[in-house]
Amino acid sequence: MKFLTTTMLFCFTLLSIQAQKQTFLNHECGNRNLTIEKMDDKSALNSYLLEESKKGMLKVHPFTFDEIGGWESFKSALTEDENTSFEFVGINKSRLMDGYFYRYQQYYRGVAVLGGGFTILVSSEETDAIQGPPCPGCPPGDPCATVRMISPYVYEDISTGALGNPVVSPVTGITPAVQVATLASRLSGVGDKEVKGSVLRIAPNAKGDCNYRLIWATEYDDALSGEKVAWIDAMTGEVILENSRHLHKNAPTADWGVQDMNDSQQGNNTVLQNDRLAVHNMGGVTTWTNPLNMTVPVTRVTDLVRSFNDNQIPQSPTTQAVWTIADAPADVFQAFWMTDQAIGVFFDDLNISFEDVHVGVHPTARGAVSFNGGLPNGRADFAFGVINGQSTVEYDIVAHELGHSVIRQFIDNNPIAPGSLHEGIADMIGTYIESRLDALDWVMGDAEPELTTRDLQNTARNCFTDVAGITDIPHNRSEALSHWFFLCVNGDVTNNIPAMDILDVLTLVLEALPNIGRTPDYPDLMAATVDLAAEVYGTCSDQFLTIIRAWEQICLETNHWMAVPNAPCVTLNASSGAICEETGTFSVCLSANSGVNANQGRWNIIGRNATGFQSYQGMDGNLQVGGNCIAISSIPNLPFYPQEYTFLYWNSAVGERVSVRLTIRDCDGDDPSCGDYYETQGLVSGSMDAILESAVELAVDKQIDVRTDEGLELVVYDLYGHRLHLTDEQVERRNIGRPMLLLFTYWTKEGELVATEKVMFQ
Amino acid sequence: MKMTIFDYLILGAIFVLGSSTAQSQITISPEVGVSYLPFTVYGANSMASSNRLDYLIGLSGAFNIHKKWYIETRMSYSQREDVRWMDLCTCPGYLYDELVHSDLNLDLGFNYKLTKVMHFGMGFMAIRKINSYIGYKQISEDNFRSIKGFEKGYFLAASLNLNYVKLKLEYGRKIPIGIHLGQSSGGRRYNFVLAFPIKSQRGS
Repeated sequence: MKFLTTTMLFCFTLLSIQAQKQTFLNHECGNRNLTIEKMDDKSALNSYLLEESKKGMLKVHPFTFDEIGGWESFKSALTEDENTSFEFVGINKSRLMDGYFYRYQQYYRGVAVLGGGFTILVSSEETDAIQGPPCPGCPPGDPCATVRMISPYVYEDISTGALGNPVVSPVTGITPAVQVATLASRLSGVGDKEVKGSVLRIAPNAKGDCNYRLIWATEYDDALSGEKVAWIDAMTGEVILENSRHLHKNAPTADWGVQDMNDSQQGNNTVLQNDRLAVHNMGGVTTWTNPLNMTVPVTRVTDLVRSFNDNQIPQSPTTQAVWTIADAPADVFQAFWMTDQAIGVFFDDLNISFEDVHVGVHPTARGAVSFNGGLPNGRADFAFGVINGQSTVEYDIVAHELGHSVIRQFIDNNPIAPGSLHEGIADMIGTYIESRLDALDWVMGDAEPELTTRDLQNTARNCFTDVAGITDIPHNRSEALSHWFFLCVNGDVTNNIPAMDILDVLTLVLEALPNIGRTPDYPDLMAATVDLAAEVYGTCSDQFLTIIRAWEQICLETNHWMAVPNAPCVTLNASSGAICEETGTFSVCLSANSGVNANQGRWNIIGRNATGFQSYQGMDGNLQVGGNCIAISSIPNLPFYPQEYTFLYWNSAVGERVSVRLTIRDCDGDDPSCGDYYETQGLVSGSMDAILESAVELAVDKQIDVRTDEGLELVVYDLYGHRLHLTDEQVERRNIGRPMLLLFTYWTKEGELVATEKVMFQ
Repeated sequence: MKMTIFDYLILGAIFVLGSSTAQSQITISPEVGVSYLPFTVYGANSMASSNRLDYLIGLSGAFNIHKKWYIETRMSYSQREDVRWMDLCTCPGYLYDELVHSDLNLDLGFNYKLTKVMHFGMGFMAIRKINSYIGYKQISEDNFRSIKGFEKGYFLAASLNLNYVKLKLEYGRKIPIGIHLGQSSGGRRYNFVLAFPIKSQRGS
């Protein structure tokens, strides 16, 4: 009986193991951002997060690294793994937000993790900005810069296996020449190979099994193929990936004549493939295995889902000067050429980088499709066939399908509500990219009669109420959204909708995607775009009016006061664009035509020492009740300038908070800047003697000669005006808190004040 | 059609049970129960799942081959949940994909009598889809195909044999035929069955 039971268990265990073999895409591995997803109150970052969701771009209340407890505290909020570190790699200016994206590379025990790291949106572009270790004296970098958004992509649970001792080429104890020879011996292909360099990296999911691998990213020069890059498994020597250079042969396209192909060379052949794109000639695929393992004829592009293989990628001898129809049909060349250009526009205009696109072209299958799991930062498969005999390889359809993989990062395909947003936004992307590469038109698929219903200008259903009840065809349900895009870009004089730049509208929509959940409907997209437009352009801007009035035009109520025709524009205006701390007074007022009862409103000030402001009407902490203006009579003393303050106004007649951000500056230059403040903290510290010495140095720097025969007397005051002739002990007895701001004054013998300095004493 | 060892085993069992000698020693049992076959069908960029508990009706026959061993065959029927899924594609007129299916299960098990009441067994199963089709619907035309052929697999069983009723719990796995990315699942079947043995003249 025991034997029988054991045999049965063995058989079923074997079957279970076999049945579980699967290839995983990166997002399916679930090994990213584990610390953030389980974040609790103990995390330094927790109180700054503005949203429940911890996926995508995390919106945060602006904070400095000092406020969050320093770099290490911030790092701990991203990952609790002590072996993980980050290194600053670059800055990009945000196209929509006021700030700069700082990108950081993740390292595990000093080895870079491919694709790992995080990005933060920071207010400053200081060259010595927040870098994090390794850098001398980290932190602070720029202690005044505030972090306003975080996009984490931190790989975690990197454990044994990824970082054993590499057997192919030991890290230590071997000369570079031997390393190079060892790596070269692993590389296949024809011709002599010269390894130019190699670096150790950790590759997550390099083979689709969710395992971390230690690899040598090796650059080498093949005598026949030119420059190449290979990933070599450092533990087994297996070559996981090889990329090669481009040849740019001409090829005949179906509709655009002969064009330059951004192809590449592999061995003795030129292939219709490059570092980010491969095209598959799927003309030979006549049957497919359906979900029930039945072999049935291919009738539509969705049937090609499991039929991609590398043998379908066209190739020709490198000795052949150009591509010809004998190598592949013209539609295949057109697909490669158009998709490569579209990928370029995605990157150049939208900052979206496609890494591994595979495009299948079939001569008879119906339609065009983006296959499941395809994302810009991983493998993404697409197929293009025909509709009524006409190829679907057109700019707008190609970009539409590529767009699905961008949208898929944030929105599910099903049910139909998010599915219709998928189709509508993909149409926007298709229209935009076609406008960049050819010309702007509003008809998807152009001349194909069956696609003319996808005319964004002349949609049959222009109202959300017309499409909300549609349950069968996502394209039909997307019509009103597509028309909203047309209204935004084209404008509508009759309905007083100003025209807006097409890229600005599309950017706003794409920026909204991380903020609407995975199964949104029209109202969710509307709310996000309205909020973003208010933040980026302001509620009285033409762009804001475009966005909300176009939504209203397709029968979605924004409930924003500006949606009402001829609505008074409620904005907050400061008395001066540049507010000086020396002036001590300024005011922020409602716009003249606000039309609201000011007695029902209230003003709030947010920022450092906000409760220190005084207004002529009277403040209760940082709150003033009523008034057309908040007229400030006194600005609190602050350790450094400039300082940012947000003035909020709420009135029941408006129903929403209106805000303006102001900067208070040190106009006469006698106060420390944020940078000076932190530098001074390091410079002036210690005993009273040290203060006096520092004061002399400052005076010399300012060319105040305290050592002339006449001599100048230095007198130090505290903030309360007390003259200090004190020893350290006396300071302690007076219980003066540190750090404190001191006023250095320089006097002639005749009692004339020569100069003053504010200095932090720590 | 090429015959496999599995097919020969099924046919052999039917032959043995069909013979006049065997018939006189068979215990026939009508059966009712529930069958659970969760599955997910993956489309091009969408999917559909079923986790429904389906009813099962069937008829089994048991035939002693040894004091402690007996062979049991069963034919049963389960109507499975029909599912639809809708891929996003630039395919004018496309409405949805659909799977409509019912299972005719043919099981052949070898059972061991641990005690008079407690029996264990294992065996082979074959599933034939009947009145079943898969395909897609469009505004202008449909494209559906009947589902033919057998799915094959193995099962483990435990049964409690009381006086007038037999409680059986079975766990079965289909033999996977090629595993691809995005291939549909549905490889596990769980049955809970009440059988009501009708004793033969010479008993079992």
